[in-house]
Amino acid sequence: MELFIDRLTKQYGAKLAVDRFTLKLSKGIYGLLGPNGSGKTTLLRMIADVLRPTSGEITVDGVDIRRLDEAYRDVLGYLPQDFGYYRDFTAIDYLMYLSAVKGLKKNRAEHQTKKLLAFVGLENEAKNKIKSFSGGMRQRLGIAQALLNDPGILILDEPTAGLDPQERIRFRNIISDISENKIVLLSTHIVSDIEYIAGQVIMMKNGELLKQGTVQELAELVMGKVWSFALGAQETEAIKAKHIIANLKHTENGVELRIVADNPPHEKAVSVPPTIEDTYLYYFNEVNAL
Amino acid sequence: MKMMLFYELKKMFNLKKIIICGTSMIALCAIIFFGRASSLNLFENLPDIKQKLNIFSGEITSENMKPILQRYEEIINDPNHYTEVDGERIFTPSAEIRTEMDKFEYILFLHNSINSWPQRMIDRLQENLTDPGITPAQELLIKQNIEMLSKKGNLIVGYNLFYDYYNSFLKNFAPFLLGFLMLFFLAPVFSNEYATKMDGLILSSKHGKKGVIIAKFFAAFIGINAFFILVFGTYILIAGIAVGFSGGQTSFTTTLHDAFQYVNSPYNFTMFQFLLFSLAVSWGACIGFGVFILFISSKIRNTMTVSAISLPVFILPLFFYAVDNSRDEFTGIINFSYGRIMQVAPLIDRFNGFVLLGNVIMLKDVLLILLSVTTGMLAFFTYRSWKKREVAN
Repeated sequence: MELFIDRLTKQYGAKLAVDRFTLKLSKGIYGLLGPNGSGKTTLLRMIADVLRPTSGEITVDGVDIRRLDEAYRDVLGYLPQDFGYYRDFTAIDYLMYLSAVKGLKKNRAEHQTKKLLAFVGLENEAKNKIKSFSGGMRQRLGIAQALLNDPGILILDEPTAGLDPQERIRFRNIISDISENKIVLLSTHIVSDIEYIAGQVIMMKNGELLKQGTVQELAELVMGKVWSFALGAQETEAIKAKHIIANLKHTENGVELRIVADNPPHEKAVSVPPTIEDTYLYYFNEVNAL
Repeated sequence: MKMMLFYELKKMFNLKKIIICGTSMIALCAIIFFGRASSLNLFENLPDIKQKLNIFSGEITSENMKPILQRYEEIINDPNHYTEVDGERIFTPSAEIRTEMDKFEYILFLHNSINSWPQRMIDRLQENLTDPGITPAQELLIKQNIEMLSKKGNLIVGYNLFYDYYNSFLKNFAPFLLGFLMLFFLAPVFSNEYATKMDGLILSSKHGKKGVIIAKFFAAFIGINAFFILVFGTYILIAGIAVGFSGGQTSFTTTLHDAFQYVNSPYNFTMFQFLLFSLAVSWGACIGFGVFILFISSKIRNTMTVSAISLPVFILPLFFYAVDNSRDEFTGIINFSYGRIMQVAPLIDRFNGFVLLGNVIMLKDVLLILLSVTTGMLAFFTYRSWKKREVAN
């Protein structure tokens, strides 16, 4: 299966949320990386067929998803950023209802519901009302619903938002487990979510495709632009004001700095191997996002 | 589809809501019936009322009425029932005779006023036909009115208290109970999906743009029927058990407490036919209003706003009618509202028609056709509204 996004554009008034975005996806995990407001959610909504593009098209194996209609949504699994639930439904009710909407027969729906609740570790909560669930439990339930129809295309929008570190690791492992023979497109602004599982990373900025490649390839984009050195506390303040700080660590000898910059920020600076986080910082200048 | 329908119903009704609304409706129906019954001292007077309504059963004809008229004349002409006061004869019957006369009162009123009303109307209309300024359309309308009135025949009377209570419930309370139930249960059908942000999940699913709509409509349809059965069924049961169901063959213009309400009606229903007709029309109006609520719900994400828009559409015409129903042009407009159609009376309480391309069109038919067309259109727009829904925020 091949998902092709062709010059996809979404305009709200004068603002271009997604601007002629073109991308070809075949099976594997794709990490969609970008700061808040970069157009990730708008792009994913259009791929999930819940938002109409202003122009451009999305095709699966050459056929427009609008023409495929139900056949497209039959192979689609979608976890929106802020997805809904019915407070008075139990986890089973919720998954059974969405199974029905996804067109699963009753027997298969029951089987999938049971299997997925166990898969996301909610088998003991199956008969509890969702209103009693923690944020992490709800997020796991959201993942379970996205997998009900065993989708060939899985769209996950900021799936780790609100999860604690343990939950995030667990989530990463779940995604890794289910990704076989699927197109998984996972958006995040948290680099570590995709660093270890994404085969390809797509960087998006101001609605446009900025860079695409493997984690290694993207990291290498800033080769020779990542610097490390130690300074005294007073000098550090001056450096911080001028440069993008990737890391800052207070030690007995002063402050160890990791800086992303085109040129050495200090005479003591030595070039170090870059990571994808450095690339993110270099292009988005978003220290707080890390 | 079955599974989807099951969960749509589960979303619409939960046990708590069912218990609260079900018991409230049953209690309200009982309060409405027993409230009216107690204000009229029904149970105390029921034997008398039964006697009064049963004093004559069947078709009112001069022949059939002879014994009653004869007895009445006997009383009137009996000199023993008069006393002389200051040279004047005053009718002073005994309490026993007074009670006997009271029992004749209703049947004589029906005989003298209601039974002969159509003929008097026909005479008046025929006079109007001689007016030189009459237009061809007016002439056609009058002739149609005369033709319908001529078919009315004599009244069929008898004990029909159940239908009287049903009629009063239909006109005064049923629309409100049904309206509130529908608002309470149907307003969240779509808006709640937006409010809970379930729309994104549903619309990205295989049957999320079509199957879900059908399931929601079916669930709403089942709901409306359930409300209808709950409200009318409860009241009919209570009233029927309390006063008996008999009287179905009597004319629908012979209701005890408001015999004039259908006196100008050119239609010729029996009480049972009226019951069936009015239930059907009221049900149709409920479906229409239900679809209207669904339409508003499909457009707005806040359930309270859906209710705030739908409630006045339903209530205001009924309110305005209650405040001022003296102006024909005004009532003519509000008769097109869901609440007034649900009351059924405005459709058939008088001759309401107009001429179109040389044919007389009855307003009743126009209203019912309009109701069907707007309901169909709103259902289509609701479907379109959901299908084309964009999840933007």
